[in-house]
Amino acid sequence: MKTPWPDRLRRSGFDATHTAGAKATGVFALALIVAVLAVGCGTSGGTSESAVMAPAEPTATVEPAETSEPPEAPETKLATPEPTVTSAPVPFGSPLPRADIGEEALAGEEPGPQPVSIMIEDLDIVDASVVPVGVNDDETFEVPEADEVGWYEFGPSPGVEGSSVLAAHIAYDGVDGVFRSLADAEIGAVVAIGFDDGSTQRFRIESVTDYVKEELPASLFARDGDPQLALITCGGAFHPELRSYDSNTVAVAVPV
Amino acid sequence: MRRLLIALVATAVASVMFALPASAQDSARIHLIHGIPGVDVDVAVGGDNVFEGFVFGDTQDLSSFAGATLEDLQVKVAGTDDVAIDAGDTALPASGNFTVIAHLDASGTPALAVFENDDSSTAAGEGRLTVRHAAAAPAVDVLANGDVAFANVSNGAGGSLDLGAGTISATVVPTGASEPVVIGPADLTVAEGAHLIVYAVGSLDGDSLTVVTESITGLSTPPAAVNTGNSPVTTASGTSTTLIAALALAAVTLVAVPQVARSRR
Repeated sequence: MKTPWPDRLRRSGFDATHTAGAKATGVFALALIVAVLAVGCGTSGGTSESAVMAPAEPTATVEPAETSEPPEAPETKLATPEPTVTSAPVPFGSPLPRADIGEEALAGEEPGPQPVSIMIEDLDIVDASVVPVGVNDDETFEVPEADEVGWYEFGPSPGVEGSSVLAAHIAYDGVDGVFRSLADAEIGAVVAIGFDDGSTQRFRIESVTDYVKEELPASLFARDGDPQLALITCGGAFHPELRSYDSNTVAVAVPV
Repeated sequence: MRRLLIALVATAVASVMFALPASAQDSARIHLIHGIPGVDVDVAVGGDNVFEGFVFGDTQDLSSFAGATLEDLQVKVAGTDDVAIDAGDTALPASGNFTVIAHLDASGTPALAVFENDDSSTAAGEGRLTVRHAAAAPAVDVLANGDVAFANVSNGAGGSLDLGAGTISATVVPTGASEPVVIGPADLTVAEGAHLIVYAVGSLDGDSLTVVTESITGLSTPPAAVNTGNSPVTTASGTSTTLIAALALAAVTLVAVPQVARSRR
């Protein structure tokens, strides 16, 4: 497991802030040059710069808002300005979920059901153990023992939005891994995932692909989009002197 | 000729400068947060209310106004003409990731602060934590698992840290001291691929000190590689392929030796 706090500290310095209390247009004068240059060169802000707000020309008016349907207004919080001459943009922004308030919110959400077992009858994989894994210190996928399948815990649980990744060895230190015959999987083979709440979900393999390791698609780790399983192992030529394989074999399965 | 050339260049540059804000707007993310507990507010632009009844914690998306100017921006006590924050003509940044927060300054006066947010990718397995002091309180130290992570943070300032995803125990104390704990101890989860931004808000003397948080997601980096094998697969019978190769070599040798013997004659 990647070493958490505090050993992997990487400071990136302090944000500066710009606070506007009373009318302070004079203060922004210097900022005008910076802001105008930024616009002219199309640069995005650096993280260590103070956030500057450029002063307005005395005759500046607000540009009309881009038309895009705002989400449903919550209760009666939004006021509709009079449709008369006004320099105010209509509607004013769009509401977002409220910021979380209070110390309790710092803990984050409770995780949902997590996978604990996998079965692929066609490949003689019966009730193999699935364990949550992350990355090693060198940022490679933390693959578990040869008789286990690692579920990438930073991604979605199987069946939830996005690509849920489960990887297992093809063979390790002379012991065949759970995914030793993944490359033989056929389209339509069923994958059953068991969860820690006792539920089960079935998936159907729709593709089996080999990728040169350096070209393993990042989309296999997507956090959004239609739910899918990405079953990954090694494949292609094995190099004994390097003790490694050329490729990754990937079987993608979708919920039944 | 030279003067004409300069004029042409100047015109081209000017038109580019005026044209750019439209496209730059697409790349900006600007959120407005009401960070003053205990008071509902109305927001006015150009003398008219554009938003009423803004409750503590409410967040508005102002991204479509990136590069635009909000004329005579004011934050007022809801339902009154009592101006809490008189920001004047306020031009919003044209691009980048920003949060504007209405908060109490160190002396307890309402103010607007603008912070720029780091939305660059995080390393595989890591998330990002930012803490910002937006409360009527003296400078503080922010501790994680008992160690000082951010020292001497005063109102209007903050700090950022990339760290391995996980849960830490966070406390906030007066700077240089170990007590009293003014916020926490609280479990704080750093999610992989997300930037958690925590604002200390409220008033210490007013006994309303608390935190509001926002999160920027979608910053994750996939693992560098998936290395799932360091030996060859054995056959179905369990005999290693190396042994089979050795046996095959031996069989070839047994056939070859008699030939060599015959040729010696």
